[in-house]
Amino acid sequence: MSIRFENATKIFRDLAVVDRLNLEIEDGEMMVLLGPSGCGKTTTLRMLAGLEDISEGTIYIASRCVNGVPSRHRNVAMVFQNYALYPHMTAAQNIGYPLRIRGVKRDEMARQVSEVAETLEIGRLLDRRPRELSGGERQRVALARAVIRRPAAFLMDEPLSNLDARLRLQMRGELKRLQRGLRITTLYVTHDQAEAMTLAHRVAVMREGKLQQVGTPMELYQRPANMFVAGFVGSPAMNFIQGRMEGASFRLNGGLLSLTPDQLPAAASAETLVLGFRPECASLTSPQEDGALRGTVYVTEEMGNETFVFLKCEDALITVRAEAHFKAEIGDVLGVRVPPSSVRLFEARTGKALV
Amino acid sequence: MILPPVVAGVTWRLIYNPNFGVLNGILRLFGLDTRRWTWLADPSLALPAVILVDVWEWTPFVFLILLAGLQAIPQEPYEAARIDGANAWQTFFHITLPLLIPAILVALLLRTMDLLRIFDQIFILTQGGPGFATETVSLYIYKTAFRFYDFGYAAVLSIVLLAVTMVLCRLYLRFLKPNALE
Amino acid sequence: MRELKGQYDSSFVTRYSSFLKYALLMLFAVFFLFPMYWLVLTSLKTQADQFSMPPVWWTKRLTLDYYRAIIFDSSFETLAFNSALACGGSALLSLVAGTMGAYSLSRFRLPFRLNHHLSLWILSTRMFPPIVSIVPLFLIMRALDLLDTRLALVLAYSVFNLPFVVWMMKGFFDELPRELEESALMDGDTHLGAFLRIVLPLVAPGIAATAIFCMIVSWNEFLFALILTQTDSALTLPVGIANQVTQYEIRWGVMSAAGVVAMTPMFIFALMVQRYLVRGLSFGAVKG
Repeated sequence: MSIRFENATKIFRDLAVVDRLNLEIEDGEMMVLLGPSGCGKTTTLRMLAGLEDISEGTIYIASRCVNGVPSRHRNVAMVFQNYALYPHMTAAQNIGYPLRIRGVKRDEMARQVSEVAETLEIGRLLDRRPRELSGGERQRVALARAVIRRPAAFLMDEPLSNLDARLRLQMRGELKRLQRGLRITTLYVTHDQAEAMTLAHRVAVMREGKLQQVGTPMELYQRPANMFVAGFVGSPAMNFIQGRMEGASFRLNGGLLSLTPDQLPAAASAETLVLGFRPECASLTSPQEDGALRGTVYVTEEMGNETFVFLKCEDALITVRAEAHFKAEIGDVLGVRVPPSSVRLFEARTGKALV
Repeated sequence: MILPPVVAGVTWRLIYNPNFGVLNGILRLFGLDTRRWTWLADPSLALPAVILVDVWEWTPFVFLILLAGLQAIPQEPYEAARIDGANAWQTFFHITLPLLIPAILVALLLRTMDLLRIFDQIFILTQGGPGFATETVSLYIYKTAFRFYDFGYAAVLSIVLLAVTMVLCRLYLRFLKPNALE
Repeated sequence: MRELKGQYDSSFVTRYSSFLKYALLMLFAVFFLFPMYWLVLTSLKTQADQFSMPPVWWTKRLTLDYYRAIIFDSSFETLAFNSALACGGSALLSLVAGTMGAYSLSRFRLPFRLNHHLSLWILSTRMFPPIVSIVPLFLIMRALDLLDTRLALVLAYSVFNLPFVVWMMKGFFDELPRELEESALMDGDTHLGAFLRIVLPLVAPGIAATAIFCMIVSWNEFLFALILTQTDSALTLPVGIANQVTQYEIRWGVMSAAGVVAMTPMFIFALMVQRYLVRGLSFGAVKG
């Protein structure tokens, strides 16, 4: 079932936590709401859930306006950050609870519970209570409880954030398979860009209540709409260097970086520019090389499969990915070669992407 | 502390009894002449005697509050202090005591409020006597209202007591605010 | 050698100080326990032993006469029944009203910062000296023609039990994650259904503990019972005992036995709510 936010606004004490949000989630699509804490993404989810009133605007589920409709009549299921399993019920009772409310017969309920438990591989845990389950198992029970009634949509509020790193990766994959298999419309909230990139059909980035950009993970990565999205998506984050145009080139600490022809008109229109490039697009070279930036090594981080080199370029700290065996000492002076085609240009004042 | 105050009163009347009470019995073991010591009937002894009963009844409660406070103190500050080379006394004065202050304040607040209204035990033990030696505000109000049937005056006394209680309570809560008591 | 000597010394000091520590603890224990022992012993002693000087510290000449006396005394039974009814009735009334009040105070945001003000107001009842309310309470009960009735006691006890229940239960509700109810709402339940099926079962231990605290406080209550009751039709156990004690001639054996009978259920109650003891007695100020 499709979901549509139309100028959805939430005001807490004169502050618009969610500000005129327009967003459409297609049937069967997994949409990830991405943003730092306090950006309004959870409030958006809760408005859709019916746990939070909507101050202005409209929310549609399957083209039905659900403003003022109580949660139980919205036919959406939710997975909470802390799972919100009922501590006094067994796993089976937890999973069956939505059916029990709907008056499903006991044996039919038992059949469906064991069926769902089977898909989520928690069949042998059904008699346990939540406190006897591990974090990952609780997560599966919470998922099962959401899945069992085949809702119009899943709402997930940082469901993986309470798991340890290894389990999180595993559950991330399973969650994706589950959603792709069931093809149920999903709104997923997270502050973790890696989760957003890996899970989503499309990602919606929010900041201070305002939607920044909606697009597929690749679109967000390659063509971020502004500096915020550019900095938030991708890890390590994109490098930003302020500078000015000099003819057809960008001038920064002695180096001149030539731009591609299609970047020029846009670059000329802005007064001050910020140049952005991703650590994985740049490469290290000798400081004497023509057109290379010069920087002093600040620190290096060897990750095993790659090494990140942090350099001071005037007052900017930039990151460059080097191959695993790259060696440099703190204080070394290196050159950074940035291919013009991988450069993104932003207007310094507004942060908007040019081109 | 969960003992009915009336029963506490009965118990201690038994203990304080000048003729066959166990307190005088114990003092006699030490060769003291106890015939003059009529605990609850002696104007100079009655108040301390009544105080002792209250201490007996409510010390365990204060103990439990402080214990709960102690148990709430995390282990880390102690480990840090040990590594920093503090001895037992320093640890107590620099860590335990400051961290226990909220619990101490709570205990003080509750006990102060309880004592402002103390009535039951004293009613049983001495009825405020001998003379006025152990008469508390609550007993005075009670007597004004139900012995002398002066409801008007009793009401005035009540309001004054209430005002005093409120002011004290405010003061305590101001101290407590940053600490405990949501 | 010097090291060995040092070790010997320090262990001597530890042993000495730990002996002191235990001696001190013993002394305190005796001070706090002896009066209880004495009350129980007196209730079992023969009259001659009760009045002997020096006192009889321990005797095998025990008697159950005094217990028999009160058990077969119909007026004692009436008093105990009055007490039980007043404290049970008030606990029930306060729990039903107070639990719901506490839930709304814990979960719903009321306008005009009412949550804050109401909470403080309720808290202040713990500080409130009950004596200041006896004049109006007495006059109200007289006007309602309720003096010397058990209903008057139930109502009067609810005056302090209700805020206590609200405060205690608010604490228990606050500890319950809000997501549980939200999850129930998402699962298709109504507010009331979530409250009955999810919230209530989870705070059941808290409700039981609160109920027991109400009963302890009401059972022990003395002042209100003293002014609101006069005859066997509503007199409570503490007032009955007090009436006996303040007379000139006291039947110590019977009094002690009555005292033991009056306090025994309270000890059992206290054991049942051990976990919440500090929390209840400190009006939730100490979570323990």
